[in-house]
Amino acid sequence: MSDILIEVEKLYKRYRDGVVVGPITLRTPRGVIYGLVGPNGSGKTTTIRCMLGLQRPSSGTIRIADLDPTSQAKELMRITGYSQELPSFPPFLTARDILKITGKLKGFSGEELRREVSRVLDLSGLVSHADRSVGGYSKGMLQRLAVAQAVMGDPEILILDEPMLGVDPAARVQIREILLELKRSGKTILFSSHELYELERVADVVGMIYQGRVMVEGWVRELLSNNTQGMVVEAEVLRPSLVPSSTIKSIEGVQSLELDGSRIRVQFAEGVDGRERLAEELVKLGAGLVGLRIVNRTLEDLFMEMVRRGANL
Amino acid sequence: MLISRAISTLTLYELRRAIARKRIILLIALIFLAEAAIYLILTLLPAAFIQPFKTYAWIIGLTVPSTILLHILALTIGAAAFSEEYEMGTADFWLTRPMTRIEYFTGKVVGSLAFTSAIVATYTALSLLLSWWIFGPQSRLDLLPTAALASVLSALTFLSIGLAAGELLRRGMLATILAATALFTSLIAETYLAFVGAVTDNQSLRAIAEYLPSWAASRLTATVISAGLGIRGLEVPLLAAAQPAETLPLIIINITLYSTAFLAVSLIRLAKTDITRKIL
Repeated sequence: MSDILIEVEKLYKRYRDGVVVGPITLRTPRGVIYGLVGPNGSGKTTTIRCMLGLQRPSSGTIRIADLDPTSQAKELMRITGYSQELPSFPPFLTARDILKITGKLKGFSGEELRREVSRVLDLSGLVSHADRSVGGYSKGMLQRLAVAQAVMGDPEILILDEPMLGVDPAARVQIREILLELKRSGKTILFSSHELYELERVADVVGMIYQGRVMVEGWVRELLSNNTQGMVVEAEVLRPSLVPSSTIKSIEGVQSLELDGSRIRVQFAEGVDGRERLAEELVKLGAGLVGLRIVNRTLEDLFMEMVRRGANL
Repeated sequence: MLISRAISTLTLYELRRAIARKRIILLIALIFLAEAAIYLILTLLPAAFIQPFKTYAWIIGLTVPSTILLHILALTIGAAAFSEEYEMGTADFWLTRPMTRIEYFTGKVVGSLAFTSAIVATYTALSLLLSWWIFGPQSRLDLLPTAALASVLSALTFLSIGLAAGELLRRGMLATILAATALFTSLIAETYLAFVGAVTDNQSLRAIAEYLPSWAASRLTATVISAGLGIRGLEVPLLAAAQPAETLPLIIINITLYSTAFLAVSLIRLAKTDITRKIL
């Protein structure tokens, strides 16, 4: 059995209006949470819809659990749960109806179906609203229902498009906990999000899409490691006006510099520890060095680097 | 096993969806009002006129709706079946369940037809009740099930045209307008060709009219009853209004061809193209 459960290879999707998404290449290992991130219109939803067979790729291949989503969508959806961006359900149905329909189509019936519906209603915290028409649901309730119907039947793979969109902090925590619990039980989850902080907390692997292409892909802990990407150091000074940027940039290994009030953020090249030299230089300038610390990189930093790189392409 | 489960689940859903739509409920109410009006108006006819035909009064309750109202209802149901799912974004919901697009299509068509059949069954029962109540015991009721079935079949043409318009345009209102335009254009063309054909005694113009979709759809019920009664339709004034045709096979071929063609268009479009995202 392959360790890669979701494999997208050089996917291109060309729309009639000339918009092109691609090349998208990504690999989701089995049993991880894969976060797909990118600005609006970058191609995340197109990629996800191609993965589900809702749209056909113009070229390239997609294999999910060795299934082709275009020709084997039914088989794929037996083992996959999906929650759509801005979830839409028939407004005249209740949450219980929607879960029953999903359960029936996944092969449940009778007592087994009733138990499964109760389980996911419990999981999503929608028990008290289960018999209300979903037309009257708030955004947050719809998102919770979307996640609930996605986990019906305990699918092996979950594909969630913006599951945190429009939810309140309590629902967000609840969805995050559901995701982590599912991961602990060995499920593979691919989810797209704008919420970089949220993604950093739950994702094992991240793929960053920008202008229709995957610009960065890798394990979150490796991508955020200072050893591979270069150290970021932040110095706090009392007299920032005495710090000419040219002087700091002349320090060996300095790649970039940001001045933000009394804080100076310096990015060093990979493998360079320039803290001592930076401290010496700031003392020499009489800038009133108060403190110096290594700044842990965040996905937001990575994302912004990607955007900058993308803009220069 | 799961194939039939997908289709039956969608069929039941389709019935619920149709009932939840105000436009459909309004049309059903209109049909039932028309039924009541038909029988009330019949009571205004002189007793001597109605006497020979009063045991056939149930016929009119079946034939009048099937000349036009049933087809408006059928095209409205059909036009919304696919298009509303795109508009609401719920096509994604259905097509990300374990079902093929062919099952989705079949469930939608069967559901739409089941709903149309339920309406036909209801107004058939209503016409029987009203005719019995107003004119006393009715005769040749052995024809009633066949006549009701014929009404359902006659609705297939414009149901299919509605389905195709809905799938092609993926906009409910536009699809309804397009399908209704097809119905009324066909009815007008049919009447005009028949009129000019009669005035000029040009048989080919009348023959052209027989190829139009409304020609067969609006005549099937009356023709089936007429054939069942074993007399020419014109001999029964209540049936004459519905203009039964002389050839049942031609009507069936017409309905079969139009329905098959438009269902095929819908299926090909659904099976071969991307699923449209929710219209925001």
